[in-house]
Amino acid sequence: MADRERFEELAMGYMGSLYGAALRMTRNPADAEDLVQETYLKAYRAFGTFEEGTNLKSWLYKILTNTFINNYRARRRRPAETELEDVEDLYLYHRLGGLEAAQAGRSPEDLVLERFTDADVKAAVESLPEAFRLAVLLADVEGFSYREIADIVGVPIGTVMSRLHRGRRALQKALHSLAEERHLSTPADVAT
Amino acid sequence: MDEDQQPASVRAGGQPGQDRREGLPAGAGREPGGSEAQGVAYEPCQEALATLYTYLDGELTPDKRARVQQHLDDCGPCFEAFGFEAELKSVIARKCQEQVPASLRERVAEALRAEGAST
Repeated sequence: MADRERFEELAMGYMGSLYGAALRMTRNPADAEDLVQETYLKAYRAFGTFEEGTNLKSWLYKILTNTFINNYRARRRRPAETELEDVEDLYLYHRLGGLEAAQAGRSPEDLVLERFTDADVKAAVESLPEAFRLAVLLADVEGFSYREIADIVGVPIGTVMSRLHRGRRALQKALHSLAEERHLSTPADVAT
Repeated sequence: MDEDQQPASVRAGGQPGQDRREGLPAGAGREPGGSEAQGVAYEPCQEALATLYTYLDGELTPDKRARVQQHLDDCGPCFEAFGFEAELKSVIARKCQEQVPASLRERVAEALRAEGAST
């Protein structure tokens, strides 16, 4: 039986990021907690097969992702996902970028991208269809390489790149819609 | 949109091919990718932009990376566009962080204990 202490020593530190990923995947805190617990149990049971010195984080994420795909996808009726309307490259930059440049030299909190709250960004990520959401999550939030993502999700690298590219553009569209709703694209210091 | 509300890079105008204006670095004052209204793309910008994500993701080969880096040194609009995208990426990472509920930590620790005990 695998050494529980050793496993905990190595694996428990990843719970924060695994939980975050689980939340973005399931979009539901109760399911996210179940998913994380199930992932740790499976990982612990399979720990004997893990080669120490290899990438534990991607190994854990592979278990998390597979468990999500197999057990959690159909669990609850999913709120509507944004149809992946494709927009051009630099979509958000063309609409907010000028403001960013105009604010150059101000403190970080003033920059237009900082006006998005955590909840805004999480909602925008969660609005993406699953395949694209996973790619963006693994690349941008978790910092995995294309090769690692391909291994975690079980698709070719080309597919990862395509989903990432389209997913990021869709994310920019979602963020821009949010910015419009909130009038975030108005420079704070412009008198109206 | 009033002229003074346009981003600086658009206001300064400039057309593809006219990048050798006296006293200005190549690419100054143009939109990255050239004037879309003209339907003509400025090639080095298009080349760089085509690899925007692979560049920012650190997935380019060293020589391709060096070429993009060189273009960013030479081209203000592309430098700004890349900077914005890099900033966006880091904002997404930062704002998606989560705190683990204490109850979850306990649940998992307890589940592992129970698992270890049942052998």
